[in-house]
Amino acid sequence: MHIMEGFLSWEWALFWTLVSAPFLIYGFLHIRRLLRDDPAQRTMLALSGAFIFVMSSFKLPSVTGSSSHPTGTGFSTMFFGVGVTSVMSLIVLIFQALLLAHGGFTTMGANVFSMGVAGPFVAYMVFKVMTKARIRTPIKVFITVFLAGMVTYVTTAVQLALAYGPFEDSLISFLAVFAVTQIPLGIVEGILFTIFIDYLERARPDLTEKVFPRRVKDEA
Amino acid sequence: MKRSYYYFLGLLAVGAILVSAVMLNPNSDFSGSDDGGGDVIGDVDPNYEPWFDNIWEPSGELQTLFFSLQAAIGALIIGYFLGSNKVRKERREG
Repeated sequence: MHIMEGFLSWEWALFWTLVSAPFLIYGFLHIRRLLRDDPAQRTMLALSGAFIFVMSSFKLPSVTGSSSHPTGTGFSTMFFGVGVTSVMSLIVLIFQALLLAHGGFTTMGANVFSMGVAGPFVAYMVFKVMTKARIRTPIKVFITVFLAGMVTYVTTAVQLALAYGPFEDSLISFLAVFAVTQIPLGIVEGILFTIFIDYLERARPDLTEKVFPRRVKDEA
Repeated sequence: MKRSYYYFLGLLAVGAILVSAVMLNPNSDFSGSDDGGGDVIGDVDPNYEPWFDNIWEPSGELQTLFFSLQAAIGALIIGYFLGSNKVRKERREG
């Protein structure tokens, strides 16, 4: 999902930076509020960041013959929403742009938007709808995590197609590279987080019950 | 059915996907989709020249080191959390 350094014209670079900025500002304020008012959330914030660090460093082979990496943003999205996730993504993207020449500073805004805003936004909306519809936790977690990663890669394809038209033709080319590679990896990521959330629900219900309320049956 | 059975099945599926990726493409060097995006740009707009270069590009070895460092930082935090949970549980039962 990283658009390489220098591969977006400055107009598009500026545009995506301006679109991402409000989410980042909201996220910073949200994190500050969480740390001040609710120290118990520190653990969950640390875990959210840790998962994004680990998952986005895993360059995994995909069935298509190229490799890609999951984004790991699903966890943060479920517990904290879009703002916090965009800040976490920014931290990882700076680390990668600075030390790994992976992504870049001119494309930072666009990359924060795909990884930290678009993916988490769609995933969060679907997560809320599934919660209302009382979908079982494992299915809910799997779909949310899968979407957070998948939508990120589709967004990257759209961003590149917008910058390198004609839109429809190049969108198909970019989707072929990004989206198809990502499907098997999204499934891998989804399974891993489903297992972790299941563990967390039983080991530390105090940390999860805000987002995954305990069923009455379990308390009897 | 036992919970650990589901965990096992899940991890088996993860393993199967990754192994089949290697099996289906025995000769692939698994170059990243990020670079693939760059190649497509080359096809769509052959005249495009990136207007800004990475400030600093580490050599291959260093790059591997930093990737591992990134994973290690994350894994350390998750490991610390899992360990402290175990201690907490033992104390409660203890």
